[in-house]
Amino acid sequence: MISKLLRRNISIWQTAGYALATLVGLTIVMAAVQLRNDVQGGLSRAEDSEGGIGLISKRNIVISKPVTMSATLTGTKPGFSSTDIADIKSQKWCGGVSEFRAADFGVWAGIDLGGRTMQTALFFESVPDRLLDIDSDEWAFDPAQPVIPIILSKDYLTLYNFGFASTGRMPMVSESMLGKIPLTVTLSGNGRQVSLPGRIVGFSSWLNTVAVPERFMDWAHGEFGSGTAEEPSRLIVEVADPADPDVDKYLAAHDYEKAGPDDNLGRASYFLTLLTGIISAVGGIITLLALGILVLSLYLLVQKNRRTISGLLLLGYTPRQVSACYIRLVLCLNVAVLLLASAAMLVARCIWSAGLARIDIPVSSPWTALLAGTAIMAAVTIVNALIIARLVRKCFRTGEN
Amino acid sequence: MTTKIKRIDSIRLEDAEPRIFAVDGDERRESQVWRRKLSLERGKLYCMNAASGTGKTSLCSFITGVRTDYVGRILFNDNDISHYTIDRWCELRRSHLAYLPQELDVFDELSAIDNVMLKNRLTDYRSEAEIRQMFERLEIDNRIDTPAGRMSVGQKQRMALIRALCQPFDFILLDEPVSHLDHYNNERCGEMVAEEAARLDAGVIFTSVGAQLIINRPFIPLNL
Repeated sequence: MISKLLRRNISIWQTAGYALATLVGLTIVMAAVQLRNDVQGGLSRAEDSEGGIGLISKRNIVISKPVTMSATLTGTKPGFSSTDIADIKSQKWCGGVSEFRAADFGVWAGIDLGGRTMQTALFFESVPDRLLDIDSDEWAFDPAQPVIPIILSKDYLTLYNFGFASTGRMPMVSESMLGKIPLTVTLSGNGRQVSLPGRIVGFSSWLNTVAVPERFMDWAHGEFGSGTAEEPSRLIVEVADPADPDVDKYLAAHDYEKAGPDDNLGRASYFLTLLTGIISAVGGIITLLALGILVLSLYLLVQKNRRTISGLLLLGYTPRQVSACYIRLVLCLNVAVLLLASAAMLVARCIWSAGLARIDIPVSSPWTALLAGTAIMAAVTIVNALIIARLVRKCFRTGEN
Repeated sequence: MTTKIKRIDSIRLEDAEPRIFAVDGDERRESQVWRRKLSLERGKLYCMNAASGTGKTSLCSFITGVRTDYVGRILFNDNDISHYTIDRWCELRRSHLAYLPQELDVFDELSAIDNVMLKNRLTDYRSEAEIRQMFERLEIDNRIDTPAGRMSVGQKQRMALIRALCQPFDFILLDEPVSHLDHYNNERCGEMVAEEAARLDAGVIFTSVGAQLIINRPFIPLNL
């Protein structure tokens, strides 16, 4: 009965206006969040699919010293001395430095391609396992049952497929096929020679090496290593922001070269974040304006129903009981708007998922966007509830002179 | 939160007066209520006689917490009511202070019975049968399902009185309760109020400009 009284004077047009504006605003925000997740996920997958195994953190960069003519002539290797490393570590932007560790034993690898055996001299390097984005089971090495997991540079495969193989003498191989081909790795050093099975577990475009697990490297160094420590030729440096100009200045000043995840993808990802940020902001502003409409409507409604509200309060109804009626109404409205906006976002997602599928990017889970929408509507409802409670309490005293 | 409110045994006015009077500095008025120490006791009946504009409705509004624009102090027992919270006032209005405002504050879109039930549902004080009996007694039972908006002022006044009686009270305030009633209906209303007040040992404060509630019990007349 009390709701029947209080719902008088509710303007359908104002309510519909609010609902529509909020729906538009919320849908834009949710769709922007979803689009960002989808394409961001797609871009990092693009890095992965192009780069195969990626670094666990995109904030890592790989640096090396250039190979100079004098180094070639004198036979010295351009490695990083402990002083160099200490200097990099002392930089503000540096979060940590890890080394590429090269094998100081002989490595030969052989593959059997349809009866033809191909042997090649190889080299191994290891980087700290924690930096690699790879399943630890795949990247395990057990000396009791030795199988060597290997990550190969994608460039090597490209070089083989489009260099050697395309000349016609050798078959071309795909990544997945190569992963299945049994590999025989022969390790030699300290007057010993051992052949072990190897398995290619992944490819990387930025990790320009033949990488093996740290644990294998430790074991193999113990077995075949000469024991002489060499300076690392490449370092993985963790930086707070790879786009930090200080990083580039430092690298240029020391004549270091930077490698790592594709810069263009990084830029695309940055622009995407910026773009979806702007779209989200527009959606947010629309939602805020809609909230403004609702607040004005509420003022108007409470003003129109002031006599009724005062009458109810005079009978002994508490402001809480009276507000609850309006809060319930706003809650229902907001839940409906949230459901519709979620549905609209999911429909939009279906539309762009077709486009993304064409470039082989699957859509990501909609939970983040749904959660964001729910959080926004929860906040809007709380603001509404507080305003309603305040307006109703103001009706308690009337006719003050 | 709000402590349980005990009975109101007295309503005391200590040099109270509407702020507007104090600002105007109206010295001509000779009042037995304003700017005095007055104690209204539970169990007694008071009739506030006054001309228009002397503050009858203001007095009712101050006592029921609707307005606070007065100077001086108003106390329930020994408690200054200016410190009461909204929740406390709501509880007082449900269980200690019955009020029939001059404007009646009935909801025109609700039927007569729904108007009364709106209060009774809050207090759960009377059965619907009892309420229907009260309608019969005041001879508006034929309008029980009529929207209040289509009732005459006199009928509304009787219906609002029934509504005011749908709660326990220590004091009942009736602001010009019979201004639109004939002698016969006035008497019926007076009887009903007197009976209920006697049963609850409650105080009755009624105001009148012209027609005065006919009540078959001694009351104290006070000039505002």
